Amino acid sequence: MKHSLPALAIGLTAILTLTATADATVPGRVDFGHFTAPSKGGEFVEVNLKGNLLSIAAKFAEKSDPEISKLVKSVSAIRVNVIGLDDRNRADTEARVEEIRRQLFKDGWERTVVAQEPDHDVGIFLKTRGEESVEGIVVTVVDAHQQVVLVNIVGDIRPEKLAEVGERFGIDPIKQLGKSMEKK
Amino acid sequence: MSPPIPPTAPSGPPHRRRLWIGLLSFFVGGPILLTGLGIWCVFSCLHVGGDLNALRKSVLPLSGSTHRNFELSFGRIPIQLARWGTAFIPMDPTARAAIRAVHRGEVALYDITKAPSADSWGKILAKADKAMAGRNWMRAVGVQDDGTLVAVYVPAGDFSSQELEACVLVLDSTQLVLASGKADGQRLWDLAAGKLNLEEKARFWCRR
Repeated sequence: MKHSLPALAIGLTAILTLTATADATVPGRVDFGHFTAPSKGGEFVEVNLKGNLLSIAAKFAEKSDPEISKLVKSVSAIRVNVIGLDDRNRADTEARVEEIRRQLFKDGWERTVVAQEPDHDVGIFLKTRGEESVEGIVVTVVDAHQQVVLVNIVGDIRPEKLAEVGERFGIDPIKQLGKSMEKK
Repeated sequence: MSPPIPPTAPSGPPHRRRLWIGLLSFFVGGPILLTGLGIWCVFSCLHVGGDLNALRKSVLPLSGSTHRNFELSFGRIPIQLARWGTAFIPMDPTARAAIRAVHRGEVALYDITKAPSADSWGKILAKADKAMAGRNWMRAVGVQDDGTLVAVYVPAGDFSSQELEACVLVLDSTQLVLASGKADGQRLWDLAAGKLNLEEKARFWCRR
C-alpha cells in the first residue's frame, strides 16, 4: 500500500494528470479537508482528479484498452491523500481520520473492515444506491502510526467491478473487498 | 494682369517617385523590421510568460536564494517553424509526430543556493495554489517526498483532449524547475500507445 498509492499518483499524472475543497453535495464525495505535512520532508501526497480530466483519460484509453476506458468512465472523481506521520502531525491526523470515519458512519455509509490489527487499521466505507451501484468508496488506512492513506472514489460503479477498480488503480483493500463480494 | 507663375523644381513622374520610396522602405525599413522582430522573438523565447510567470512570481520569493539558470519559451510560431524546418530533415517518425502534437512549451530552471526548509513547502504550495487558482488552474497532484516537492496544475474549467495543458513545479534542495505545455493529448497518447505496441511486438519477435 505504501508504494502503490504514490505510484497511483504518478500513474494518473502520466495519463496526463482539483481543488482541495470537495463538493459535499455530490453523493459519494467526501471532503477530507487539509492536512499538515510532516516536518523534515516526510511523505505527503495529494491527488485530486475529477470529471473532465478523467473523461479525457477514458477517451484516450478507448482504443488501446476499452475495458479500462469503460472503468474510468464510471468514475467521476478520485482523491488520494498519503500523509507521513511524525511527532508534529501524528495526533492531529489520526484524530482527523477517526472523525472522518465517525462522520461517514453517521451519514449512512456502510463500513466494511478489511483488517484491524494493532499496527494496521484499514477501513472501507461504501455509499451505495440500491444494490446496483456504488456511488462512493472511501478507504482509510492507518499504517503502524507511520502513515495515513485516504482514498475517495466517486462515480457510478457496478459492485462487481470493485475488484477491477482496486486492481487497476492499485488499491489493495478495494481489490480484496471486490473479491470477497464476488465470492458471496 | 495676373502675376507670373514661378517656375517649379523639375521632378520625375509621380510613379517613379513612389517606386523609389517603395524600394527605400523595402531595403531600409525591411531589415530594421526584421531585426526588431528577431530581437523580439529571441527575447520572448528566453522569457517565460503568462501562467508560468505567475507561478514563478508566487514561488520564487519563498524558494530561498535563487539564481536563474535559463528560461525557454516556445510559442506557436517557433513550434510551427520547427515543424516546417524538420519537414525537410530525415528524422525518427516518432519525434516528428511528437513535434506535431506539441502546441507550445515553456521551461524555467533556477539554481538554489540557499534552499528553504521542508517546513516551508506547505506555504510554497499554498501560495502557488492561490496564484494559479486566480488564473483558473487547479492542483491535480502534489507530492512531497525524499526532499522533493512536485505539483501539477491543470485547467480548472473544461478543456478538450486536443488542447491539453499542464503546469509543473519541481523543487528540491538545489533546483527549482517550472514547466508548462500545451499539446494534442490524443496524439501524444496514440504516440505513446503505438510506441508501447512496437516494443511489445519487438519483444514478441525477439522471443521467437
